[in-house]
Amino acid sequence: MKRTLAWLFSLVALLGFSAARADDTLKLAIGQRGNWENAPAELGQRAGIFKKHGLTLEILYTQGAGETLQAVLSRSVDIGVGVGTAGTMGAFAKGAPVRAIANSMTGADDLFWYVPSASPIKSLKDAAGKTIAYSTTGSSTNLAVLAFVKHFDVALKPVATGSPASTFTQTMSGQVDIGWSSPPFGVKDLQEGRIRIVARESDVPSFRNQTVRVMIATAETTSQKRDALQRYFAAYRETLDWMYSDPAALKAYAEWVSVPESLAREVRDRFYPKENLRIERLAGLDEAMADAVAAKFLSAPLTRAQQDQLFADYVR
Amino acid sequence: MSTVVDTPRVATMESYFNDLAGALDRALAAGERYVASFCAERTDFVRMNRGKVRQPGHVEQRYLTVRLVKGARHASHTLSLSGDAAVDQAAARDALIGLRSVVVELADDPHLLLPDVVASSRSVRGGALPDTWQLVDTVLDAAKGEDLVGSLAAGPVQRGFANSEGQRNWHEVTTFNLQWSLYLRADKAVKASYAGLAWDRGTFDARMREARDKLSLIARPSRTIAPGAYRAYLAPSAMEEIAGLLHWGGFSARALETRQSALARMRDGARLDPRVTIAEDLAAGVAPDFQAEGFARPARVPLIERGALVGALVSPRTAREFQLAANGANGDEAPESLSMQGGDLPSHDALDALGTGLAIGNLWYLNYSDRPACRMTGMTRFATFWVENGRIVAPAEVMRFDDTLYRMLGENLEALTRETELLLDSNSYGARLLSSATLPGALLRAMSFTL
Repeated sequence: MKRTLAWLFSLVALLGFSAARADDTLKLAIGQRGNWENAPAELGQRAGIFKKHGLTLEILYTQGAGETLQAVLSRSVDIGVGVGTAGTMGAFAKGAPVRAIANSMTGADDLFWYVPSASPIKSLKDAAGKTIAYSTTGSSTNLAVLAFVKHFDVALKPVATGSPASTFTQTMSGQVDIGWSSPPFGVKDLQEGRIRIVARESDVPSFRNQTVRVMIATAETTSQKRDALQRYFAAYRETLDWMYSDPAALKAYAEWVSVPESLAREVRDRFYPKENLRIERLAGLDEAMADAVAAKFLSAPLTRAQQDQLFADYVR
Repeated sequence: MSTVVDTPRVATMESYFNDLAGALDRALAAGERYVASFCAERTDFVRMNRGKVRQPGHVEQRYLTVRLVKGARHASHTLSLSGDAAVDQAAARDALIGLRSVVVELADDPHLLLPDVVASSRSVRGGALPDTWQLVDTVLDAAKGEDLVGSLAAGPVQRGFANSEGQRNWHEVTTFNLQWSLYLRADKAVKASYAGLAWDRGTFDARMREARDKLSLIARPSRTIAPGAYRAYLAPSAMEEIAGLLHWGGFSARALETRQSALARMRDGARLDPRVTIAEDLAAGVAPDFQAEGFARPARVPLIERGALVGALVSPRTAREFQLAANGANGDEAPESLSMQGGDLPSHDALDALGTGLAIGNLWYLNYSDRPACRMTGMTRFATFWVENGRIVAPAEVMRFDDTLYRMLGENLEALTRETELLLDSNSYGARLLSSATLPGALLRAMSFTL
C-alpha cells in the first residue's frame, strides 16, 4: 500500500512538473499602458489566471498602435493588443501577413468631450460657433469631431489641442470651449464636479457599434500557436469576468495604475461597459472601412475575400 | 573633477544668479518653498558654406525657471531674463507672486520629491578658447580649395540651481563644437567634427586631413551593395547615432518599470556581449553635477556591466512613484554623459580587422523598427566605404540597415576599439545642450542591410 501511495505521489509530482513545464509563453505588445481596456493581460497574469491555463505572458508596452503592429509583423511578439481596426486593415491590404484575432474594443464610450462646470454649453446642439478640441489631424478624436458636426448639424470650430493634459489646460483657461479626454484622465475632475460631459464619441450612431481596436497576430502565429491562442482567449475571457465581478480586480487595477479605487470603479463602470470588451465582438466593419478609406489607411474597402482572410482566425 | 577658474565675467554671472535667488528668498511667504534652475549661454555661432562664412551670429540668453512649492502642490514659471539685475529680480519676484495664486488651485502631486539635504556645488571648466574668428580662419584655411559646409558654436554655457533651503549649485563650461562636411558633389560628402573644452590645432589638422583623404576616396566610382548581411565597422560617430536612439527611454527607470523601454528584455535576461559596459559618467562629459530639482548626481551610474543591464536613470518623480532611489536623472531620464568602455582593437587597425565589408562613418534618420526587440533602422550617410582586405575600394551607395542591438552589440560584436571619442551634442535648439557621449568604434561580424 505504501509503495502504491509513493508511486501515486510520484506520478502526481511528475504530472505537476510536466504541467509546469508545459506552460507556453506568449509575447504580447500592448499600447496605452494603464488603460482599462488593455489591462486584462496584466491583471490576469498577476492574478494567476493565465497560469491556470498553462500560459506565461511576456508583456511589453509600446508607444502606440503603429509600434504594436510593427512588433507583431517583425515577429518579436506573438500578439498585439489594442491596434486600430483601420490601421490593421491598411497593413493587411498592403500585403502584411496580419490577422485580426479578437476584439480589443467595440464602441466608443471612452472618448468624451467636456466643458468647465460654469460653461453655459449644455450640449453640442447649443454650441454653434464654439471651438471644440481634438488631438491631432487624422486621429480618432478628429474623426469624431467631424462626425459631431455632421450628426448634430451644428457649426463647431475644430481645434487641434494635443494630449488630454494639454487640452485640459486649454479648456480650463478658456482657450478652447470644449475639451476632449480619455479615461482615466479627467475622471477625477468629473467626480469633483469641475467639468461636465457634453458629448461622447458614442453619440454618433456609426461609432456606437463599431469594432475600433482589435488584437492581432501574424498568419504564422495563428497556425503554429493555435492551441496556445485558444487557451489565451479562454484566460482572457475569465479575466474579463473577474474584472467586472470581483472587487479584488478593481483593487489590483487601482494599485497597478496608482489611482484610488473609487476612480477605478468610475472608469470601468462609466466608460468601459463589459460588452465593449467582449473578445468575440466584431461589428461595424463597413463603417470601419469607410473611416479607413477616409483616413487614407485604405485606398478602397476590402473585398469580401480579403475580409474573410483577415478575420479567418477571429475568436468565436 | 573640475578645474576652477575664477574670472571677473564668471563671478559676475554667478553673482547675478545668486542675487536672483536672494530675491526669491525674500519674496517667499511662510509655508512656501521654491526651487529655481538657471540656464544661460554666450555663444558665437558661425555658419559656413562653399568655404566662406555665410552667417555669423552671437546669442546671449538667460532663462530662469521658478517652481513654487506649498505642501505637495507646486507650479512653475519660466522667465526670459534681460541681464539687468534689478529688472530681473523684480520679474522673478512677480513670477513667484503669480505662482502663489495658481498653487492654491492645484491638487497635491503624489509624486513630488525634492531633496531633503542641502548639496551645494560649484564647477567651472574649460579655459579660454581662441577668438572665434581666429578659429574660423583656421578652419577655412585648412579647407582651402574644398566645398566646406559647416557650423561652429563656441562660448560659455552656464547652469545654476537654487532653493529656499539655501542650496546653490553653479556649473559653467566653455566649449566649442565644430561640425563640417567636405562636399564632392550632390550627396557625396565627408562629415567630420571636432568638439571639446580646449582647442588643439594638431588634433584639428589631423581631422581635416582625414576628411580630405576620405574626400579623395569618395571621388572614386561608388559601388551599389546588394541587401544582405555584411561585416561592418561602425566609427564612433555612427555609434553615437545608435546610442542616441537609446536616449528615447532605453535607460529610463520609468520606461523599464512600465516595460516600455527598448531594453525591457534585458530585465528578463537578454544580454549584450560581455565586453559592453555603459555608464552615465559625469567625468567623461560636460553635464552639471546636479539636476533640475537640485538632486546631486553621482559621479557614475552603471547602466550595462559586462553585457547585463544593471542600472537605470531614476528621476525624483520616478523614484517616488516606484519606490526607487533617485540617482540624479532629469525628468526625461535620458543619459547626459553616456560613456561606453573601449575594447582592445587599436583604431588604426580597424580596417585591417574588418578585412572585407563596410566601413561606416555615420548613420542618419534612425528610428525603431521594432522597439520591444530593440530593432532599429536607419540610413548610411557620408563616407561609407566598401573595404576589401583592409583597404578602401569604393564609396558605397546609401543603404538602409535594420538590425537589433542584441545582434549588433551582442552575438555579432567582434571588437571594440581601444580608443574612445568624446562627442558633444551639437543640438542648439532653444539652447546649447550639455550632453555628450564617449564611445568607441565597433567591429561587427555581420550587420543587416535591407535596401
